[in-house]
Amino acid sequence: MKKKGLKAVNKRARKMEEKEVFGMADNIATSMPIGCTTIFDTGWETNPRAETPIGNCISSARDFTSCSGPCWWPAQTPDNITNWPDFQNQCRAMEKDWRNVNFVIKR
Amino acid sequence: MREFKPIGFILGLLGVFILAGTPVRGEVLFPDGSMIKQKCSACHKPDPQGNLDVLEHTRKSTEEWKAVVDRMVRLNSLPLENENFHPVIKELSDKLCLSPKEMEAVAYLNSDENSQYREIPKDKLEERIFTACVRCHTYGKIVSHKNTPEQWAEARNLHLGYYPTVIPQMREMDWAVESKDLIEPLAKLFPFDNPEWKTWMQNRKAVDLSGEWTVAGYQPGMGFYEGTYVIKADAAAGKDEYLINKELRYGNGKVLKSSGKGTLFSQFHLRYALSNADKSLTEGVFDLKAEDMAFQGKWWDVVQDKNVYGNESFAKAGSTAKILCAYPEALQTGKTHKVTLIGANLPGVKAADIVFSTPGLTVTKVTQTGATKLVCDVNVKADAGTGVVGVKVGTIAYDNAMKVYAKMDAIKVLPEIGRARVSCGPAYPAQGVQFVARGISAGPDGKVGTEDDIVLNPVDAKWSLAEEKTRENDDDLKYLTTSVANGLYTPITTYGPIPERVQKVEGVGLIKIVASYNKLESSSRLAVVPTDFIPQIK
Repeated sequence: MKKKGLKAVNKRARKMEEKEVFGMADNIATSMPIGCTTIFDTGWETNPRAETPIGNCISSARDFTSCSGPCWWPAQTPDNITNWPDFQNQCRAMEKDWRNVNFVIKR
Repeated sequence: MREFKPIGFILGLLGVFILAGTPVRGEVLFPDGSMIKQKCSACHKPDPQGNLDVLEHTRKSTEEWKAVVDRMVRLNSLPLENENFHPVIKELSDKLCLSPKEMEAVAYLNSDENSQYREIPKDKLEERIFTACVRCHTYGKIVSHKNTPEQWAEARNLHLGYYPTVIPQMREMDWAVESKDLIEPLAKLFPFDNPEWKTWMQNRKAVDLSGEWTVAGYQPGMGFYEGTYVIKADAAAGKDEYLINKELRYGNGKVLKSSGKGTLFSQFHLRYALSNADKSLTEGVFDLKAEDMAFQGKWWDVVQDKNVYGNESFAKAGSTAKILCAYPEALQTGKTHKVTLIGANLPGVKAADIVFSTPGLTVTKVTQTGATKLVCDVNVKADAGTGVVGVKVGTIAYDNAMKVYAKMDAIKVLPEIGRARVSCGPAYPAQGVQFVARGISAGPDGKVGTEDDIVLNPVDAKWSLAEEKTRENDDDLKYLTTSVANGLYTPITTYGPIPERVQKVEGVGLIKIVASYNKLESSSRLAVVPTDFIPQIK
């Protein structure tokens, strides 16, 4: 995970450089089964980060609206421009409405 | 060739208009009466030769045609009635498909279970494609498309138009430049014009699946099974539509009966949906090797809280004699084993007619013979040597039939990393992972964990869960713990935030699953992750 020429300057950054804290191989992007979201550092999927807060999408429900709206991850959450302009009708507050969402398209 | 003699300027102009919509030479893929011409040509205008714009410069798997046509309906206002969706996919898949060889490379992607398949880039170019594309998509999705260079460029344009935030999201690279640079390599790797596909299309023959088929397969957690498919043409539903009855008989005596409907796309790609006797639903996707009249593929339970699936082959009764499956997969030296061979059109044989590729294995007795099943006792000498062996039944050869080993040195849990998903209401049931513990023989070098290890039969292991400590105060196991029967882990946690967890994290985490067998132990990592909200983009 360490990038060439970059040096960790604080405790948390130093922890991030330790491979073992991830509990994963270096090539996290390709060591997960297909269908995983590899775009997030360590993956939205597991977030085995060194310290709390454990990850950028923890909890997932907290970031759900941001990922669909301003951040707009169309393969991971219902995007609000192209495919699911009305997605918030299903989940005004994801942490409460998660039981009722349905963005599956199967034909 | 249609001859056209313009008389004057006006008639000449008129002629141009007529020619623009009329096939004048070569084969027209979608003639006027075709569903595609009727439904798609309002936007995809025919060129003077009658070829539809864009559409006829791209080929895809049936599964990708579904995704594309669905997008046309949802985003481009294609007025396609629900009942016409299936015929449109059939017609597109018939004319603009992948060859069986091309499909083989992406067959792992066509099933819809919680697949644990891992894609690994094999060279620098694939690494570039992975970096630019395989963060939202699978590599298999890209390989499922075969386009002209112009249409690969259009695929990039589509992303810039529909998903413009790809630029800031992929900000550690210049995605606009990198994706442009990848057009040429993609067009070479996955070209529309592939001589192999053209030759196959020219030689392709219509196949009739009606009849009885012998099936043999393996379901992780349940073991090997055999059985039959009885397939009948569903004349009322149309060409290449079938009624399917399936009966599976497992080694433990369980019998599973199912029935339903299936469609043969592109004359080789079978998809079916069956109802099982226990009310569960099964889907399957299989590709036909026409010269053998044998299918290979996968079926899975539609509701995946148990992640039940099976890999299987089935061959038509009366087709070329062949062996589909042999089990057990591994035989220990110095013992006599009961070996079962499943196949089609097998001859009646005596013990002397079954010969293994190494003299250390001899058939001492044939206990059951039949056209589809052959059971025999195989003696493996103590000095038979180890490794992969083939078998010949009369003149029918079956390479890589089984493995011979001297001693089980270790066990190994597979997959090495399992990815389960939490449930999130009725639309998103939990997705479990079926782990299997198999014996390992160290192989010639005497060391476990090296390339020459021989992977043996599944073992009846005891299963437990353990923490995979990845941070201070790692509390994943506390929430993810549940009973694991027969290697099957199904999350009991949901997408709902857990109030007492740090930052109200939902029931996700990274733990270990441990198998123990005869003082041998092995573990795999188990990632329990959030819901896949958009399963259609994979």
